[in-house]
Amino acid sequence: MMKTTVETPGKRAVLEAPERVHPSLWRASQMARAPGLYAHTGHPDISAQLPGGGWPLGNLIEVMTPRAGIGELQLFRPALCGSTRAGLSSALTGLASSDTQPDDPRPIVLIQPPYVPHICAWAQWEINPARLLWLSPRNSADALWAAEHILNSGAFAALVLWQHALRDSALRRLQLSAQKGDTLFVLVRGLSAARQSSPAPLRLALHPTHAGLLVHIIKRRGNVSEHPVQVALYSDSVPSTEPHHANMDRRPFTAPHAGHTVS
Amino acid sequence: MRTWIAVHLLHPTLDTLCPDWRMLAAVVMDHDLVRVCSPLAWETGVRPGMRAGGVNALCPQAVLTQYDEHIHHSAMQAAALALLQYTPELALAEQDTLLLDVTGSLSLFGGIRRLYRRIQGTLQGLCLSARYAIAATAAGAWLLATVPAVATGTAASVRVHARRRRCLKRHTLFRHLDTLPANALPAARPYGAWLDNIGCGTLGALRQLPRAGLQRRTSKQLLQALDAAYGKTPEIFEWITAPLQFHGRIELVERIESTEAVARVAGRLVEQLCGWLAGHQQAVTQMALLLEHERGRHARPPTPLALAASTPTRDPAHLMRLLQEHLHHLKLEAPVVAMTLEARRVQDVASVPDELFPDPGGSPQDRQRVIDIILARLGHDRVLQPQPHADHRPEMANQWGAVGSSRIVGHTVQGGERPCWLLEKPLPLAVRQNRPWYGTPLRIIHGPERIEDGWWDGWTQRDYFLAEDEAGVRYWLFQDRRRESRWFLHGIFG
Repeated sequence: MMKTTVETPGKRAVLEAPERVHPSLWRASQMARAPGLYAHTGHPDISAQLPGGGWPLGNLIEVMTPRAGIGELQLFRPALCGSTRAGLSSALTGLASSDTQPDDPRPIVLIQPPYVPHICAWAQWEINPARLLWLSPRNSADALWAAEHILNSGAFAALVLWQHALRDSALRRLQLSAQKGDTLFVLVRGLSAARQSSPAPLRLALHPTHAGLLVHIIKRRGNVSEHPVQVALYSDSVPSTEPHHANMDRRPFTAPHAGHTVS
Repeated sequence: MRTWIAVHLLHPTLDTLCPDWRMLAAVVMDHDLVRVCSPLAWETGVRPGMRAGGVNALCPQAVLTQYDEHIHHSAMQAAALALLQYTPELALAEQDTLLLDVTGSLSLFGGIRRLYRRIQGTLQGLCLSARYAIAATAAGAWLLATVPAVATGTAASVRVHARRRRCLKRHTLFRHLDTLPANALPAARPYGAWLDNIGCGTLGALRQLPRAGLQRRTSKQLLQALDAAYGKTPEIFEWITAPLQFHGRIELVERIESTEAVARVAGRLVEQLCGWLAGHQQAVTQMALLLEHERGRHARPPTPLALAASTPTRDPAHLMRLLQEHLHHLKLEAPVVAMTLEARRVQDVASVPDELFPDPGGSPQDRQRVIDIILARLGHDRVLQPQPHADHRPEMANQWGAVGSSRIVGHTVQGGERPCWLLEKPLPLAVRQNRPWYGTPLRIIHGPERIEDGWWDGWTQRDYFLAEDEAGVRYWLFQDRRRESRWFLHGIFG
């Protein structure tokens, strides 16, 4: 009986570089390199762990925190500060550039934040306070309606939404609306949501650590990230009194990106 | 070559007085004689010109309404005003027909098909039933629109007839005109019997008769009308101009108790307003819809509904969106019997040309429209923008105000590092083992930064510190020097 050979040279080439067949194909051990717009994260460690090397614009980014105010906004501060459009080109070419154009005139919207946003802080981050909008709807139905409307219009630079109990259908609607534009859309939820499934292409769980955050990537387009990433948020890190042993074996774990970097 | 659209309103009176005439046997009486009747009434044998007694005998269930010239006229006016959105060259013709010269509007509205569909949509929004025709000459379009289709009944034949009324090319128009009956021309009607007798039943046959003989036996007007329809003589029209003041008012036949129905009726007024604005090259920023309630014993003042757009607009879709969001909140306390739409503030606008490469983020006007709609739904006190005050006290400096209340954004005072969240009220902290306590003991990282200000209203004397808890979350604390150095939590670096 004749034995069929699967491993022809052509098939092997396809399996080794599936992105040649279609740019949105990748191997399970690799990270995706789907075309799209990406914003600078400002943190090289976390950029290395994200497909596309930045926060995906026009996508739902779900962030789960044990409680409000542990640094979730600080994590997105470089992306909010820098123009998202300036960030995209450099993320695509794989080159880190610092010449972001600071005045993207499009507004940044905060919906149902847990505390009162402090204008002085935004001014210190060199974001024109006139770009800020604070929405405090009466109920979460209104909040979701406003978020959907803002995402559909595509006329806003960033949207940060704080919500706790969300049904799967609501998340799906948000993701579909987000895909219509290039808004940086961050949804902040409680840590209990990490166990639920979600249509968001990027999900992060944050835990506070000394002078920064420990970022677990729960879901991304690519292989499973097993090691959390340490992100330093505050530059003035004072030497801690207690010894710090945690990051002995934190090494870049993933195989290189699928596709070819343009150099 | 020009392009004309003729809109022939079928039953303006029935549409206004008896909107569901398609399902009823409805008859409009004019001085005890039938003027118009609905298809169901026609089937029972009612004909225009009958007396009321005859109608009662033939069709006892018929709904009789009295003809009112004012209502008929205002329906025509409403249609004309709304259609001014599409072209300024709009003329009123005989038999309740409006003629639109849309040659100059074709590229603006994206082609004849889209324009045709929009005009249809506008008249459907006004709840007016109409027959439409497209032709290269105004008289030709008028003929195609006014001649009723031969009633064979099937849907397919109706569609064929509708297609025959749309001809862009000259020779198609001639072919279709040739098949029309000769008495479609009003000037030929006095000679109808004679034309029948000589076997000249269609316009095509009429056209082939010798001109000199035809003129001798009929009238000069007949030849002129024939020439105009076939585009052999120029046509002159008196264009309709929009009135100087806009006054949109609809008296309802029935009382309305739901906001959805209010929105549907108000849509008719909005279409008229947009036509009026386009006629004057203006746009609206503030308008008001007054919902009038019953008069008499249960009289109550009209419910006003103020609509504001931050950028001038005359887009009916946007205005309707705003209106719907306002109506979303409204609870009607009494049935509505009439509605008035007022344009409170209008301004001249130049129409902005479309950009070759539009900005992907949308223009600032687009953004303002989104904010307007959000404002309409959430309310002015729930959409806030920063209005910082130049003050050293954080709670005084951090002021948020309603969007659009004042466009000026103040200055912020430079200071040390500030947290991105402030607590609405400083939270008193417990002290354990000489350290402030918030869930876990807090460790001071940085400070103090002394803020002393406001001696004129309750002097603030505080020392601010940056602290970290055991998990690593950073807080902004202060020690109130006026209250025995107690600790308070004021902000979170989050």
